[in-house]
Amino acid sequence: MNKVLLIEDNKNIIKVISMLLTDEGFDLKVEKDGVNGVETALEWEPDLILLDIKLPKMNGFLVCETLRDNEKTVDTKIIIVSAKAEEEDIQRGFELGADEYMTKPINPDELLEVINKHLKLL
Amino acid sequence: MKKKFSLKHKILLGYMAITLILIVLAGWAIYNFMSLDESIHDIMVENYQSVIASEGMMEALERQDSAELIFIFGQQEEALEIFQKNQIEFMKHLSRAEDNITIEEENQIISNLNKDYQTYLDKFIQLRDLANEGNIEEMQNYYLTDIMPHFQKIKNETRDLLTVNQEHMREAQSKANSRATQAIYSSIIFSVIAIILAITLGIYISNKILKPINSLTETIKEIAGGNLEKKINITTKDEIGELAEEFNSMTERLKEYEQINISKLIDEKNKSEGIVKSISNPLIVTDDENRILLINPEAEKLFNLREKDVSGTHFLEIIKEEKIFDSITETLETGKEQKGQKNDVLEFTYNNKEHYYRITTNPVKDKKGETNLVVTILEDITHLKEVDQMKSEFVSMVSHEFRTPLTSMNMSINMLLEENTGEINEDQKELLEVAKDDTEHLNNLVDDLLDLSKIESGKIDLDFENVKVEEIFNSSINPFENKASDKNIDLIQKDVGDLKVYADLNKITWVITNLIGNALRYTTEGDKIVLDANKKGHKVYISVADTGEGIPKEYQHKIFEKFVRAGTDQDESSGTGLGLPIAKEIVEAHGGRIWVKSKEGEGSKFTFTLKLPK
Repeated sequence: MNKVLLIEDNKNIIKVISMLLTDEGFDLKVEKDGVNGVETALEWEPDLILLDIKLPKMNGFLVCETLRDNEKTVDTKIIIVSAKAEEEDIQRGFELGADEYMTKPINPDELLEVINKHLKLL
Repeated sequence: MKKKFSLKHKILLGYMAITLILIVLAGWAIYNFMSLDESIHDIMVENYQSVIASEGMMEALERQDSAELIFIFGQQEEALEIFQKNQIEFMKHLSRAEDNITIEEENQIISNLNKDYQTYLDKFIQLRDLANEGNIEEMQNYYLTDIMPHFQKIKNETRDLLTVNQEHMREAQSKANSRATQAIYSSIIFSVIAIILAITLGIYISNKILKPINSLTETIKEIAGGNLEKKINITTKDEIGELAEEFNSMTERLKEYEQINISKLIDEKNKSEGIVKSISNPLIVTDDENRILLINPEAEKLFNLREKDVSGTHFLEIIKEEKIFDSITETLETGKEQKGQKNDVLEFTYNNKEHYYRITTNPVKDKKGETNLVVTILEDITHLKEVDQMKSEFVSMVSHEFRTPLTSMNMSINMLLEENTGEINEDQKELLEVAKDDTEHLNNLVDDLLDLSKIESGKIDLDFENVKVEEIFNSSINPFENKASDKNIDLIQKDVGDLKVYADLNKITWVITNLIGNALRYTTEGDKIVLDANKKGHKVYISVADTGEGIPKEYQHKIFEKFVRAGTDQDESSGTGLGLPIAKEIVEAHGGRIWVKSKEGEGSKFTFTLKLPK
């Protein structure tokens, strides 16, 4: 079972994505701020992380950077899902080692497709 | 009161002096003529008469003598007649001579003549007595001894009278001659003196008149040259003096008038300067050769200048801002106000703060309507920029905040619709479709709002390049081909050959896409949408025309405003009402213009302009 870590502070998004991914059979853990997100990621070592940018305590870019600096998570798939859709944000995300940058709003189908693509499940 | 000698009096006086000289001259001449006449009268009348009388007396005497001889020789009757006839003649001449006594001597001679002639007549009576006695011899003796010597005596006396008169005539002639000579010489002398006097007087009088006139002319020339301080210094009390006095008072009034004008001008100048100085935006006034005439304190602060250091210097030497200078020269050339465009903003940093200025140049025209001054105002729009910035930040924040809830809504609806969480009935599905449509619409709205705020705040970066119009058309039409054929609408792309424009391919594609999207919304089966482009002048005109329902007249000028939709738009969920405002912003950011021509029921044609390749 693939382990997916969702780092997101909006409870409605958490609810919807949890429902979607659990239904699809992923092992999902959720963290609501950057610091806990990083901790859990290093501890639990998920296969894939869904990362928001606007997060309490530590923002998504910093989370991404921190995780890429650590050898435990250096190869973990990181998909940024953010409302920030500016060109420079997207660019920054990729520079910091994100595998994908999805801008909100997103479709469930779209999200599943991207996750499956990166986990090479398709 | 001073005695006044008017110019007229002076001239008259001069004439009078000359006339007086003439009168003296004439008097002298008359005197000369009179003395000449006297001499001539002496000769012609008195002496000449006496001479004639003397000659007549001598002739009569001779004849009487002859008559006596004839008497002696017997013819007494005849002799007596001759004697008596000549006696009358003699007496006549003698009395004439007596009437013409002019000389002292003459008096004596004539009285002697009277006495002697009487004796002579007595002696003839004696002779007649002798004749009556008949004694011829005695008669002859008497004649020879008595009468003849007496005759001789009278004859001599008569001759004396003649001589005296002739002598006197000669004297009178010489006197007349000398008088004439004297008259000629004196007349010449007097005439010369008179001429000299007249000329001198003439020169004196004309000088007297002309000198003040000349001085007047000189002074007037100087005053006319602008020296109002100059006064005419003529003290004569004649007409010229009066004229000078009037002229002086006129100059005085002129001076007062000038002073009033100058003070008015100074007031006006102070007023304008006050206004200029109190204007809170930087202001620069330049002349027709782009020299700085005036800058206000705000401009001094902005450019770190001092007005007194820079006035009269060429604009570009002092302020190296091509944008401002271009605007000034444009205004000088066209004589029209130039107002900075939204994207044409000057940026300055002073007091460690960014300042933004919009350039406005206004012409100041002279009487002939030619621009001779340009007033440049740099309108401080920093606060507008700040508001704009705040607005974009606000819009940006709001749209971000919208996206997260929209995501959960969107995902929830989708998951429900895909029945991941269980089956739903048709009614529920329909309701969810409605919700899905509107979340999509909200999503588009947020996207467009963000785009618009970016473009409006000038954040949009245009990636200019020379692009083929055909390429733009291809990429614009591509996403619509299926939809158009579904609706059975003819989407036509005119052949535009190799025509190129200088533009940002993606942004212009966005504009045309938006226009085609709109056109599709307002067309129905069988309609046409035509894309065309052509070059006119140094611009390229690109148009998207449709044969759809058209736009009502009252909406045509409003459709480029935000959230305006033509009243016939029934498919409300399909557009955000921000497409055309964004299109307009993009076209204007390219330096172009966009407009629409439409007729209800016949279709619409959107046209915009782009620049030719560089």
